[in-house]
Amino acid sequence: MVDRSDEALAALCEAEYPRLVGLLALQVGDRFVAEELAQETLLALCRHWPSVDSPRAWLNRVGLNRSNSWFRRRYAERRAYRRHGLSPEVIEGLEGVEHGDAALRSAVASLPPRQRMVIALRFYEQYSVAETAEAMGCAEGTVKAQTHHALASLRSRFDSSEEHQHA
Amino acid sequence: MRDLEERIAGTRPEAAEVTPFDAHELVRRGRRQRQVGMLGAAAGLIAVVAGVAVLAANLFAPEQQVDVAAEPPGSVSARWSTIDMPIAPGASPLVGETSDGDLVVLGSDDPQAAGAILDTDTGGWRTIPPMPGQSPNFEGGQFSWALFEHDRIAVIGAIDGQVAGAWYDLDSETWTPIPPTSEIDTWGEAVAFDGSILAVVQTGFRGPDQRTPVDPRVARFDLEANTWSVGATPPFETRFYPRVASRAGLVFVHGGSLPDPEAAPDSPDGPVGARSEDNFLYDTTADEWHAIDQAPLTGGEARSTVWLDDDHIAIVNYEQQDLIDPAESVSDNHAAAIYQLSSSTWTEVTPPAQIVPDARINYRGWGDSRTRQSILIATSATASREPSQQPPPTAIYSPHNKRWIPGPEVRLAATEAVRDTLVALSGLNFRTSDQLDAHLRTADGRWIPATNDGPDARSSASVITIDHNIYVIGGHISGDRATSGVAALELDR
Repeated sequence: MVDRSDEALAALCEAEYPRLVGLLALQVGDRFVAEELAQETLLALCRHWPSVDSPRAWLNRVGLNRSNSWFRRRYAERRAYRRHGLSPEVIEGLEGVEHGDAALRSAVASLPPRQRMVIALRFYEQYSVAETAEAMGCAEGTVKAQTHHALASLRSRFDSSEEHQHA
Repeated sequence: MRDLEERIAGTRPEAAEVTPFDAHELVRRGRRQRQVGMLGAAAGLIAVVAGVAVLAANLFAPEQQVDVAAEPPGSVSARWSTIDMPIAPGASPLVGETSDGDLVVLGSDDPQAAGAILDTDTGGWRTIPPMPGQSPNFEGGQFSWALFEHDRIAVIGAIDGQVAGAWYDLDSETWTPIPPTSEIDTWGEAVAFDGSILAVVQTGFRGPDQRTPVDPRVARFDLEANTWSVGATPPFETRFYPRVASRAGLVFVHGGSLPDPEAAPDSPDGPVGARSEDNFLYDTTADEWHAIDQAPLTGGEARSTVWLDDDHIAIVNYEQQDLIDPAESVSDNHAAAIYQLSSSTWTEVTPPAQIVPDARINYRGWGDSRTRQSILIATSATASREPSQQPPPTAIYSPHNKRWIPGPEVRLAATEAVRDTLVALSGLNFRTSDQLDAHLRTADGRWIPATNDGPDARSSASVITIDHNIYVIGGHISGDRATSGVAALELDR
């Protein structure tokens, strides 16, 4: 039974906020953007609170949707930059070089949408394959295949990065 | 380097690391916004009581219908835009969605490309190289099929009188030829593809005049083994022109005409005998045939068409439009029934008399591209088809909740489900519309238009929904002018 009081909702928001920021940072590659998206998502939760039965699952679905929308806006902005003569390389260069967790978030965020979602749900949220498939609305085989492709892509990226640093 | 999986789990920030926010203020803002929304809903209820024809709010509600709502219904809007393509896709191209959410278009007038793939995140295109060898006349060839499953495209048809083709793997970006087969005697009536096996089903006759009987048979091509084999024997007699539909490895065979052994050899209609109403389903993956009960159809002398989705079969009986006297009162010229595979039950579709009271109805089926759900559209057949006249009344039926809802007042051509929002499209015929048009069904049952005018109307276009976008691809914007771009409708909520 979910406690519907304002106090319980505020406590839930405070408890879920860091976790949600981490999840969304893996999607968008930027902690500060993730914080904004997480707060938007928590506000949406407050708006729909009387009808939400599984708050964490709801937050994950809505938050991931919002991160996808953010990506679409971002690419629209990039297309606008390109129309004004700013090259993609310059745009990438503006985002700087990242290390550690920031580099990992950035690498995950650069994966195709379903791959970054499966990585976040499987290894950040620790969902099982079946739970991930249910959350994503796809077959378990798809989750396994996407996980395989995503990990291979990430390993390849980090391996080549380490080789580059050692060279 | 730590294992990646552990590193990903370890990116979770501590509470002290994230920018603090006031949770109590957030709760207050959420409550205020909720109260404003309830006022709006109350106004809508008053409108219903005042006589505005809005059906029950739970009809097509997200938990019952087109998709699981990731976010509860709120304000929704949509905007049209156009996307340039590197190829001219022509009429009715094959379209599909990759496992990464990209858009695949197969079918091109350009000899240097068989199709193209749109990266829906970046907006960039990459082309699909031409098929190796001779193409089985994919564009418009009546014995050619193109199917898309699990990031593979299979194209098969008649080459030099034999069934052959090629398949394309999106991961490796390579075509592999499908060698000719001698396992079947005809070009087949239906083809199914489950991503690994391509099945060609022949049901009855061969030869230029389709008069020579052959045994029903299935030929199966295994992509990994690169070999053809004969599949399970169909459990039915040789027959003329059954209605067939295929989707995701399933083939549905309905009816057809049995051969008449007493027919004269030179009979102009061929040796066509009694009509059959039996039904069969072939599962490509399991290589199994299943008999299905006859449909509860009361359509009289009619032709049939069938559709198949992941959980439903729809059969619609209809009379050819030019055979119906417009002055004649015909109540049973159209009939529809839907079979649910998961429950093995038929449901006869009752006409939406409250919406089309003259009972002369044209049924059309539209398998929603994202949810793969057969949605029926009913249109009054007695209303004018002239663009300048009032559009005919329409209704939309979903097999999921077995009820009709009134469509928008447009020349409805198709419906698509974008997450929890039902979208009605018009303008998929340049002869009856000037431009593409979209109406969105709101949570309170109203239809609202897109926020801007759509591009030119187009005929023989293909439609697909990916994420929040509906793409209308290919087709012609006049009798002889093909489109060179994609019309995209982006939903925002």
